[in-house]
Amino acid sequence: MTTDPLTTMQQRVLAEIESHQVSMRPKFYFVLHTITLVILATIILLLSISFSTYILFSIRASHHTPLLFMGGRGLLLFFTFFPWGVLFFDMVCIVAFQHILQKFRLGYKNPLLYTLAIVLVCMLGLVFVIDHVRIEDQILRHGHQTNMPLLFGAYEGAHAPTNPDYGVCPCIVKAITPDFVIMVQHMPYGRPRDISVLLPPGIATSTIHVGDKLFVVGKFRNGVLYANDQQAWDPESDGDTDSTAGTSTTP
Amino acid sequence: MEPLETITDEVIASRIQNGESALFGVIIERYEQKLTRYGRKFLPRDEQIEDIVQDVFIKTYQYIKGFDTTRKFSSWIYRIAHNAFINEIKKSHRLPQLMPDFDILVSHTVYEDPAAEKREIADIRAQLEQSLDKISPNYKEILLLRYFEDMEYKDIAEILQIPLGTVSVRIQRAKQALKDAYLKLHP
Repeated sequence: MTTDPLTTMQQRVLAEIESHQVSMRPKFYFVLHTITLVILATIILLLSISFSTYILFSIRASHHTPLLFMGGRGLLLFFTFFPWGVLFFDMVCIVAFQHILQKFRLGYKNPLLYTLAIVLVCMLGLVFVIDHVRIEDQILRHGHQTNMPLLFGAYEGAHAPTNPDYGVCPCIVKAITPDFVIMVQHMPYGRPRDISVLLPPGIATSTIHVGDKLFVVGKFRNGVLYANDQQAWDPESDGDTDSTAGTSTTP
Repeated sequence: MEPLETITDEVIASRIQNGESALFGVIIERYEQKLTRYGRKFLPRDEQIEDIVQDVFIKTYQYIKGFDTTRKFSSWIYRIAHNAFINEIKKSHRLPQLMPDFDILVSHTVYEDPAAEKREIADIRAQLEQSLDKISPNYKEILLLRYFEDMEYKDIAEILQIPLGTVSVRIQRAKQALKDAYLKLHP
């Protein structure tokens, strides 16, 4: 900044104003600035909602919910398959949204945790409504009908069955032999795959019938899934287990 | 016609917004010394402070149409000055590593007792003059705004853009930190 010792600050600033070196930003500039921030915040919020609904959809579509009720190994597998990357981007969006909110009086006037809690409650409410109306499923179905790759295969990826090599199999009983239960892996959009399952000791094959839907967790060795745990499950309810089925065992 | 001395900052700002640019001189007259004094607590060199204060006035003029005349002008211009001084300190890498401010996370009870503060104002000013550099910048600034610039809690909340309860709790902590620093210097 150039300073002239012969003049006061007031004279220097007013001289710059009078010579139009400095001019007032029009009202429109501030309105546009606010609108831009609101639009940006809305986009970020929508992105965050999309990420959250995708996480719920992905858990539902991959039929991993029964893992939550299958002890330590089940929990470990559930968290292994959890879409952490999407959750990370979701968090980034929430932080960015909160940052924009702090630029408004409403944002900084209230304690940070309170505004964050309000944002999260509203967002999760919306997410559950969106999940309830199954928008994601419609997107997936549309993608399959039109052979369109959906979001770089993210939706197909979410719906792809877990590879039995990981020891997780949402399956339907196809045949029962004295040694094994032959199951067909539940694949709504792919070619079903037959898997031989050795049930845990103590489970009588007489309690299992062809057509039963079982969620099996175990270790996959030499083409056989050695089950540690199993639960009845209902693919129609997208992963909700039926606790009254009576086939749940924990060795 | 009402004399300029009796017209509030907000009315002057409104008239500047409506094209009376020459009235900006009144704003400079009213705030030049205050902002220079405020800046002196952040930066050591007078020429640097003068340059920044001049920038603050230029920015104030440029952005004046964004000022909501139903709010307090002094809080608004101090906010611009606060940002300018903080930016300058950051540029010169003189800003110490700040601890995360947990006070803004939850609400606190506002405890403002002007009578008690009036009684202790002379003591705090004296302690501040001697121990200012010994306390954290967060505490330093809030004490300056309260005890040198005579700002109310709600104005400080606007300038620092923090909740009102945070202002209250931060002032209490700042006073304690100042007292500790002062006692270290004068055991």
